[in-house]
Amino acid sequence: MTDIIAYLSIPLIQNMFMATVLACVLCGVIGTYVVVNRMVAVTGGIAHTTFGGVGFAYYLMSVYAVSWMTPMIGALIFSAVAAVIMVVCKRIDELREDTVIGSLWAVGMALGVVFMCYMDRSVIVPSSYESILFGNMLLIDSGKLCIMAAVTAVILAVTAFFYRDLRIMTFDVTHAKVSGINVVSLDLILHILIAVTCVMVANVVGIVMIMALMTIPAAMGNLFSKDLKGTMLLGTFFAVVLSVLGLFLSIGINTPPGATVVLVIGAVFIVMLVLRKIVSSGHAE
Amino acid sequence: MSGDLVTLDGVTAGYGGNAILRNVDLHLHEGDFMAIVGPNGGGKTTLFRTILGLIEPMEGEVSVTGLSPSKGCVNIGYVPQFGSFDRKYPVLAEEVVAMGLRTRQSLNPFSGRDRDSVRKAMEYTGSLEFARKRIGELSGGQLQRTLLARALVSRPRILLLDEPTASLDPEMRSGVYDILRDASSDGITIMMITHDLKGIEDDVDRMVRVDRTIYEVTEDPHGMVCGGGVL
Repeated sequence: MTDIIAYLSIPLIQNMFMATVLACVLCGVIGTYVVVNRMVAVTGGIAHTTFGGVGFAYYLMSVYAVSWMTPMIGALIFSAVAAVIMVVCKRIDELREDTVIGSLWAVGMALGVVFMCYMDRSVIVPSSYESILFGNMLLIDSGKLCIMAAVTAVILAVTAFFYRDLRIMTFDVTHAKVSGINVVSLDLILHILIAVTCVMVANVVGIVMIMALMTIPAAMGNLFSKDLKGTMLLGTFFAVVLSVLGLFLSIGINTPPGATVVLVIGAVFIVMLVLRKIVSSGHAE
Repeated sequence: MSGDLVTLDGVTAGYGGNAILRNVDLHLHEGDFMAIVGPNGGGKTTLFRTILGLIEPMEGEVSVTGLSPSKGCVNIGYVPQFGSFDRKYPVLAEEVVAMGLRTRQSLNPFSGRDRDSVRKAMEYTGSLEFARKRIGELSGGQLQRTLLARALVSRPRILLLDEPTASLDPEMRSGVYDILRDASSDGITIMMITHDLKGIEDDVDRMVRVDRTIYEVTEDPHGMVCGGGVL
């Protein structure tokens, strides 16, 4: 116990907790749209494309001394471009959505590997593949935390502004069109929101495990809530509580925090599903 | 019959360059209760999508209340085919109805008047008792009443229904037809795609058979149904 209290007094550990809470709020809200609109694959595609952006940023920083191009900005640019490509390709009859997603997913990862291969490692020492792909919360400094807080506020404001139209579009796109909602623009906004959220969440759990935080808490919320707002609130609640629990556990048993958080959330989800099944079969009898 | 609310003149429409409907002329008069019948793949839903402005006609002109479909569709309440959306979506029946309101502003909460409109539309269609149920908990008949309430909540002049009684049992079907009768007698012009006119044939005053083009129009649907005609 004394060890944990001593840990919590370290600024980087405090940043880790605060970044996790911010990421969880985003996952509860944007993850709900991902779950109800069956966009998990879209999220996976966008998330993995960010690796190309990280590599691109390292390359520009080290070879051309472009100092403003941080890995987070590179990831934001690549994820936003991936989001735009996905929305545009939806309008092309010859292309299937999953083909586009799979292509972006793989090409994004490949670009990241190639850019990092050509970067000048004598100028900048990049984060390891492991910490980019699986997260390293101890790399979150105060500056990154401030950016995360500001971006979270903007994402929540945009989501609140478009809440009703997003709900209509994700529930019944034909009705949205007939109601005069510009579904192409709104779909683009939703994809961009997912893209930016992926970059923020990647700071916490890394690129590979983004999908877990973006889907499982919202899916838990969906088990217990009757409406979209309730799903978002419950999803956020589950994400925050279970992630903080996972962080404490990782400190206690000395395991990587991102992976521990994902395992705790996954385990609780499985328990919830089993209990729900038992309860519903009990009612049926 | 004071005027035409929907007019199609020489319309050819389809998808990806393939025409499904060819050279269609159709006039929906104010106060009409029109049934659209015809084989699967004959273009009935394409006809609706053209009227709603969801697809552009390749040829010809479409007007809705004298306007282009994209502008005129504010005067249309639309009930889609059963299963055109995800029934697992977390949304309450009353929230689905509120989606039909035209006064919706993103940041503004619904006004008391809007809430009143939702309540009245749900009363009208007999769906108020399950207003707080999640959409996935509703039976087929309850869901159809909810969708009818969504279509009617903005007080449209025209109601388009795409097979509103498909997959409903006779009792539920009869309930939906009762609502349509009320709507028709309240002056709402109705256009309904259906495979089965049984139970509503006396109320329908025009029937159109769509099979790639408009084949037949009859002013005596009852006779057609009884005679084992086009259906």
